[in-house]
Amino acid sequence: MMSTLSQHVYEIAALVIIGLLILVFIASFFTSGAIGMARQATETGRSQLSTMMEAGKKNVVNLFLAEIMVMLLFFAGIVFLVPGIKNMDFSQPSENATAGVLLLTGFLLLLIYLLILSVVLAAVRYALVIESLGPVDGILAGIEFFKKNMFDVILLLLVTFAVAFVSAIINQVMGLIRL
Amino acid sequence: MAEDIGKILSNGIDTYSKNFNLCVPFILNIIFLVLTALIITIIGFFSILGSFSFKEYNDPEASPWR
Repeated sequence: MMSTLSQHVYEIAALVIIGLLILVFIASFFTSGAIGMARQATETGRSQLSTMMEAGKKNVVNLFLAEIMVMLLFFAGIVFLVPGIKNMDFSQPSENATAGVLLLTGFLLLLIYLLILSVVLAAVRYALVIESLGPVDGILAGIEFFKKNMFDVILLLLVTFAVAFVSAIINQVMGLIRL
Repeated sequence: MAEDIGKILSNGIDTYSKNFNLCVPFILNIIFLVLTALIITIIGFFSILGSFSFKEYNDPEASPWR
């Protein structure tokens, strides 16, 4: 089975990348539609499903390109793992204390990098859809928004994480109850 | 601070409670993502399986899946 998979590694990689791009495109459409609806609801008090289609069609390409740029920024964090992997001798993993420490430090730096990036770029989608900006302008506007409202953005993210955490705990507790 | 965080949250909950259709894009998103992922997985599965020749099918000894 492994030999069959290794024969088709390029096809599988191409399929995974194309599939990922299609999924990101679909998510971009509905995300921009949801933000458009939320904007309408905030401005007029009522939201309509037709707004989802309008906002989705209008911003899907820009949001898709912005999402890809953001994904590339996230992938750039892999550079933190390179020193550890480069020094690691995988044939004798037990005799690689220094490389292990380097790899662990790389993982920690990668986590910190991802955390900082996700906080800084938290407002990108909203800035892009609400201001109807292009992908680069959207990212810059999101960063600018974060600079001006640093404390509020972090606080709002913490509240969001707290709500998600409480929901997950409730979900776990409900899962334990046997009917 | 342009607006108090508590006011933002209460306004958000108030707006959402009056507009439950705001959840529709998220539900559609999940449905379409799952369907697309399923279709892509099926295509990938059959494209790999499709690479088998009839000789391998008729002669199990020649199959790389063994």
